[in-house]
Amino acid sequence: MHVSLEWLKEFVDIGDIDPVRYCDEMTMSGSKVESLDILGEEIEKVVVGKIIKIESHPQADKLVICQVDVGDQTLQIVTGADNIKQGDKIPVALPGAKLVGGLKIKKTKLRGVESTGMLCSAGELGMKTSLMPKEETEGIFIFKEDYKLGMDAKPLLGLDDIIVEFELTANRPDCHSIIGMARETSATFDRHLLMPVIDIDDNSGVGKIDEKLSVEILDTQACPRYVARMMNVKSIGPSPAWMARRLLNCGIRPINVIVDVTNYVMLETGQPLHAFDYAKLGSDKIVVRSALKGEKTTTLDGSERILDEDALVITNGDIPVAIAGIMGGENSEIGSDTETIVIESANFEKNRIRNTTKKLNFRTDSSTKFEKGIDPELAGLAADRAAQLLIELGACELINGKIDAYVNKPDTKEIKVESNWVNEFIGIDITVEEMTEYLERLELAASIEGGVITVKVPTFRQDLDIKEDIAEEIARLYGYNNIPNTVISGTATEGGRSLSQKFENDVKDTLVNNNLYEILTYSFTSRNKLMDMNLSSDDDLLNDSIELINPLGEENSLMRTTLLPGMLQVISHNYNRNLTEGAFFEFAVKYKNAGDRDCLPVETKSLSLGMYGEKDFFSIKGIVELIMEKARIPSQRVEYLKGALPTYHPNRNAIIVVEGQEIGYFGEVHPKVCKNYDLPAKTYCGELNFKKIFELSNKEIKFEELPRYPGILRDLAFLAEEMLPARKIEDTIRKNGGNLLKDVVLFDVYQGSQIQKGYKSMAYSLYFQARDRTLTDDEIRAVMDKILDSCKNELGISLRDA
Amino acid sequence: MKEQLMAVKETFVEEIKRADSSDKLEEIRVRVSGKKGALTLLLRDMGKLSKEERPAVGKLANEVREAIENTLADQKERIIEMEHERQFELEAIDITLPGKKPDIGSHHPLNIVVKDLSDIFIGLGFSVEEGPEIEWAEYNFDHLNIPKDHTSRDHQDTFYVDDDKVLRTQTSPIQIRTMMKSQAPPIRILAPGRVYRSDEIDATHSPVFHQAEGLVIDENITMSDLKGTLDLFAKEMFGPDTKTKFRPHQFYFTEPSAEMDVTCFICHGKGCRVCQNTGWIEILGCGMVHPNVLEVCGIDSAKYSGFAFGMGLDRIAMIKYGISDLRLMFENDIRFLKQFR
Repeated sequence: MHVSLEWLKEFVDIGDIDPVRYCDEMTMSGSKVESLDILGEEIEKVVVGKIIKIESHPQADKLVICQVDVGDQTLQIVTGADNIKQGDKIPVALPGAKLVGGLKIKKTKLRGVESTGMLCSAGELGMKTSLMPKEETEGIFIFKEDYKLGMDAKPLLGLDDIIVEFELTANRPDCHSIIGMARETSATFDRHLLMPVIDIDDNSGVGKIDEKLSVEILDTQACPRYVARMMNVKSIGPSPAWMARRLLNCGIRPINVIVDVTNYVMLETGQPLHAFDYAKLGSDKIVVRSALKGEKTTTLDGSERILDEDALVITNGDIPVAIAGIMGGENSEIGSDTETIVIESANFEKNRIRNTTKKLNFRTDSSTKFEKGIDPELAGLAADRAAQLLIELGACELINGKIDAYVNKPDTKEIKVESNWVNEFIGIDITVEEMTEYLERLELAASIEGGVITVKVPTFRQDLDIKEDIAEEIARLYGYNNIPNTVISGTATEGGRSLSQKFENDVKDTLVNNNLYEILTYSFTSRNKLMDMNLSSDDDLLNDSIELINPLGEENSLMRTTLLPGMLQVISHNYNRNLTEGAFFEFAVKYKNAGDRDCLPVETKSLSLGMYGEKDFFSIKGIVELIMEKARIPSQRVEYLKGALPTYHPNRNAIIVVEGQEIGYFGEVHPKVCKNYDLPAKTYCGELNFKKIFELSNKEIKFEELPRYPGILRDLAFLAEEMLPARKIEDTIRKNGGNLLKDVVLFDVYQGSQIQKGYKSMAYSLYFQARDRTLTDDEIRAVMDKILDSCKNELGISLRDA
Repeated sequence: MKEQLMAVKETFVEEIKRADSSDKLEEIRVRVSGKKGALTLLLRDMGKLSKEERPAVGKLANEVREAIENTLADQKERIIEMEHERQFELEAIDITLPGKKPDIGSHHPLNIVVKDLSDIFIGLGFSVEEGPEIEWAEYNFDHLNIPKDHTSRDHQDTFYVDDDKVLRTQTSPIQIRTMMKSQAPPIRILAPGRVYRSDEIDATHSPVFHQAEGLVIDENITMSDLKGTLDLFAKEMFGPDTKTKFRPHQFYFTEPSAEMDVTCFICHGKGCRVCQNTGWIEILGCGMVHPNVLEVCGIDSAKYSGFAFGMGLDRIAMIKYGISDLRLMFENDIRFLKQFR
């Protein structure tokens, strides 16, 4: 919200306070300053001048020569403007003046004629031309008022003002007005608050309002209060310059004195007002009710609006003349022929207004204020203030009386707070008198009895409810940064990471140190991206997915049931930027429908892997094995079984099984999927159930005594059929090797000229050792024979001939 | 005989001392002490000496033999050293050539921030808690004292799975769950996690982002404790010279509430583009936990008090590392990721 400091100063004296200091202290007491705009900062030496004479320029058709009286001298100034005439009072930039954009004015010659100074337009002076009527912005700016010649033009143009933009919090609707911010200012700087004196004598006017108008509120929940005044119009012209300036500086376009006064009072008090043409009202009553479904009305901006029961309308007893709190109707609009007006100053329930602006998709300054919630007490004050201004400005004459339908008065609240508690809670040590002094600065009447403060909550502070709210008011005026910084006393807590979190960090470090990059991808996916993984349309990954009611587009409409789409997209992104290789991992959650509306979806911690470049199946398998090693799951307990997942090459994929549980899968990405995701051939990916891996992991390390006796190494080379899985051979060797066989390592797989077609050579290195003795050759030979026999009988393989 | 012995000694000792290789040394040794060596032959001739001559000559012979053996031994060592040095010369390499550096990957910058943050609070006795990302609307709004008509509940702002389940908009529900689970202070938890708001993706906005919230509940927790703890955190996270500034603000689940700024860690308070020349950067929101929130979680607000705080991690990572565009964090380009090794 924008506040003009020039206007604010009418209510609280801050003239001696530097604007930057003002902003800092207001921010620190709770009203955050977003920006500070010192208007006319650049402008120097511009005064009021009067055009004495205008002559054409001998050498230029488009220029004229003016003689301008600036009080102490008459200057000759050449200008190209064509909107000025003799007798006009205009802003004159004297030689040495500075204008917007650093423009400096010097004595000069224009087409051979001396020009001492410059006549200024609104734009050249930095005025808010977008909110001003065209006649005022085109050409030289002409003063409407009769100012003294030679006086500084800046204040007359509103250019001596400072506009502070505050960011206000939702709980302080009372701050959305000049008076509200003046109150905060007075509390922050401990200065006296000067409220305007409003004094309407309801005998001094003509007639009686009760004879002309009645007000009925049908929905008192939606409209707790409706105040109306009436006035006879004397003249509808522009509002005076001081009012127009203030409106402009606060971002509102001046229109005519009546509309301007309603806007002025709204900015000043925070209470939006509306003025109707009484004759166009077409009846002598105002009825406030909910709209009917489909009811139509045309608002002041010329648009037809279709309403429903949520909207509130001001009617003449029959048809709407305004959408309450939002905008008036065209049918009751004030025009140059208006003779009598009705001023509406009402209170509307904020949610009804908010629902309606949302549905109609349009907001106004009025509706924005109502949506925050306004104190109903303001309605009476604002109506009187508007009437007073209109009378003072000579625009209207009073019709005696005021209608005030005030059905729903807010309850008065009292909050009791112990001063000891405030000190303890905040961590300060101040007297109860100091506390009440702060509260009273904010107009929170406080009485003390035996260390207990009783606060009477004014109607404009609906946000104050509990003792903590009062503590906050005290603390913010005391100054948050004056509160000491202390260390938490009390019981020490254990803290730290859980075993599962530590394990996760361990695995992450291991992967990073083995040349994998950690990635983070979006949690969303789409039906298309899942189908691009070569899934059939009834795959669980699709059926179990959770759909968002209000996603950001189709591509983000599902919560991912697998991390793979994100991983594959990252590979594609990098590959398509000529980054020739890469390996990645992601630890994240995947989501699955629990199948029960009364339960939250199932979220599983998952680990995805992906790689491309000079890689093969065993590259990614190596990473999987590394993870198993980190989990201290012995490799014999891990099985790799061929899977049938459609995303992978049918003969280059594996399901990882530990103790009968599936803990993940990986493999070479299917060519169809490579095409869909734009991946290179030989892309590898996989996904592991991290939760299961942690559960199956061995949390402890148990030291084993070092062997005392030497072991024996024996090599074996088998000739086996191509398709015989290596694992089968190894399992057979281990089974028959018994306790003495400590290690089996496959060190060579050979297919080539020396091996017959359809076969392969598998060379194993076997390491035997006993805990308690040195093994003899005989013992070894016996075991080796057992192994060879078993391999021959069970697998049909025998040693390769040398 | 004596003269011959002395002559052998003199000649060979000199020769030995001049030997400059193991081979040469061996050749000399053979010539003096080998089967047909000069000394060997002389010593054999000692049998021809008379009984009276033998002791004196014997003594000299021993001396000579010893001298020669010692000289041989010494020279052998010297030669070994010389040979080492020769070998060292031959084995000289250009040490400025590149090494065989193993390649490593990197942690994602967001997770680096999470880890640093967690480490600091773990050091203060906090544990790290997690919670579901798809949450009951009740835990995400109602229990946090957010009014039923608040705009954040709108479908324009929050993602809904169905009428009662949302994608959590903050990690505060984890605090609620923790309080409801334990119901017995003291509580000190940090809850980092992924959160969601319906925002179009651009350089500074994303529908998916990350927050970390903290909660401390105990007897006699004060606002000065809140300030002290967060000031300590700021110094550990951003440097020991970091100052903190607290400004009054408003949140539904805390009262009093505040926002905390830290000295801009780019310009150290002097003023720069990042902090818009103010010298301060807004880091987090915080406050004393609202008694309504404590009561909803079954904690007696008359006995216990606490504070809570929350911060946006993507923003902190972007400011800390100078990352220009939020989308880069989710794009995972290798050229981006490897900068965080």
